[in-house]
Amino acid sequence: MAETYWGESAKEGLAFFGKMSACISHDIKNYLAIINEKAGLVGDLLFVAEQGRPLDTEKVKKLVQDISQQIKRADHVVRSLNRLAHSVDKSRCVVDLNETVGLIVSISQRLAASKGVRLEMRLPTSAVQVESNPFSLMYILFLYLDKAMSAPNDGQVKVILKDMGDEGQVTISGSFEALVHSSEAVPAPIPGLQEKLGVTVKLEGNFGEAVIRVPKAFKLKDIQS
Amino acid sequence: MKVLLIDDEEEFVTTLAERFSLRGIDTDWVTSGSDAIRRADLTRYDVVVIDVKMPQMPGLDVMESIHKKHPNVKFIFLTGYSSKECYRACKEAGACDYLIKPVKIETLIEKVLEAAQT
Repeated sequence: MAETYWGESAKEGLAFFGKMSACISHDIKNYLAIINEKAGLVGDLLFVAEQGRPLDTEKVKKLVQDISQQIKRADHVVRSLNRLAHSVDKSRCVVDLNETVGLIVSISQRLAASKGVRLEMRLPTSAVQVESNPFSLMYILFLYLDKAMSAPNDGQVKVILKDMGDEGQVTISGSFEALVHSSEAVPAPIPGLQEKLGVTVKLEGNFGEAVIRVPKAFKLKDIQS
Repeated sequence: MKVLLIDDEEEFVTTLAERFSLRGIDTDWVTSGSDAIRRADLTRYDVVVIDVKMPQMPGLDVMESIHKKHPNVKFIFLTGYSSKECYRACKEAGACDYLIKPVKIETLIEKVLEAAQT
């Protein structure tokens, strides 16, 4: 059961799930608002055409294309929500780190923009697969990404995934130095959760990077519930 | 009456501005708080319609900044956040209204006209 990895820290997991869901729902709201206005403008143009003004058919075509584009964007976000929701289905399975990193970065875009931070992501061409707990992995990645977004390097945070053979390595750039000396540098549940998943996190590059190492094959510890 | 629309989502704000213009309302638009403050110094606006959460400068900060020099400008917040706390904060800071996206254009324009007459 997924909750055996969390124990007393389950509320942090719920808070993470809530925060991600809120980000996604806000994105969907925005796309719906754009679709509302674009569709409304089509209605306005048809109305004035009925009053005698010539209808700009090219403009209407463009608006229809714009609506289609916004629907695609909203659909992408809904798929992210779906993947997040299903990440708690299994406590242990093969996790595609390319997809997981991509999902967390995608969901975090609006948060990053609200902080004036640009997110850059680099993924390897081949999938990096690890055996782990998908929801917990997402949580760990997001916590360090969130810290980095609070202290970016020149307004930018880079997230780089590499295949290191026996492990996947996610490097998140940020100014972690100030955070190292803060009591909140490492969230409370993280060390225990990382240990249970075999994940190691080291601050390197004079604390300009958090390097998260996820073993590809790790015997997830049986935890007493 | 002159209206300024402020939203970081350009597709949204440009389309809304066009709908306002089709209804004969003299409308400008910008996509950031800093641009809005600059514009407000150059043009006398009666009503500003603004998003609550924008990158780098939240809507409340924009309102506060514009009100320092132009206290008579009326503000309507148009946002995707249906939070009671956010609503209260905006109203207490002096906003005329707080509307949730997506909104009917007729409702928004009604609120804009009301605000302009207060």
